[in-house]
Amino acid sequence: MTALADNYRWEAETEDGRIITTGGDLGGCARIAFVPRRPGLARHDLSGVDLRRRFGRGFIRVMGTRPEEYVHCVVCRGFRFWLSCSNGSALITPEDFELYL
Amino acid sequence: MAATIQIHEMSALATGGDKTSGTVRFKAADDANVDANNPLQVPGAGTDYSYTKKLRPYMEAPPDTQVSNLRWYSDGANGFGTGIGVDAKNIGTTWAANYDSAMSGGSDLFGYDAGSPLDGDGTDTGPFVPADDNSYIGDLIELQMSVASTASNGSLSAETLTLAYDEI
Repeated sequence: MTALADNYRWEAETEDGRIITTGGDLGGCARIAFVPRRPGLARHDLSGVDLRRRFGRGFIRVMGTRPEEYVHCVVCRGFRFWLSCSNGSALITPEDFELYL
Repeated sequence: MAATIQIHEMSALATGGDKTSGTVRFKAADDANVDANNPLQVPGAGTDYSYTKKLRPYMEAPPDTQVSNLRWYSDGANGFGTGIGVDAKNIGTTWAANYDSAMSGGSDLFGYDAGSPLDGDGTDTGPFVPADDNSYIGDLIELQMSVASTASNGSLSAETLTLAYDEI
């Protein structure tokens, strides 16, 4: 799962200009960026919204043919932003929505 | 760096082999080999049961902060056909030998879908931190296939079982 998850790196910038790259609390952050590490994946930036927290969600399988997946989630006031690490697509959902693939 | 989590097929509480993206084969023998030996047979009457299988997540590489919220689920549709079922349950962290009599207390695996998953960390609750690297995390999940006399002979296509987890 590491290889898929690491298709993107993320960084958030606090309102006083500090850059953070670990942790889940985005309180006090002005923006968060997801920067692709592989060609063909889109960069995503979120700013001008009320950022609250972030996490990653991994999906691994046994049997069958469904591929593994890893998504980044940013919880904002009023919505969630989900980013697929396999293809760079993004999804906006209600703030309390849990994405399981 | 993100964590690397694997799905292991267990032969003891903390001993198993990596089956991530691999196959767990229900069979009439207590082993993890994926081969044509010891197939389940359609009984003339009643129901035949496979040996149980036990799965558990393994932390192969640690997260920055923590892993939590372990959830198991199927696609919600039994594609194995008439007369064939799979039951599943969370057995916590108490190891017991696999068996081929009917599982008690299990529920239909295909009742556990993305909207209603099987909890994977109800006993070993986590969160699982970098100090848990190279160890088993969460609970044992026990599975068993049943074959009724109404089933058809032949090989089955695989069904997918997903383990989802959150990490920070």
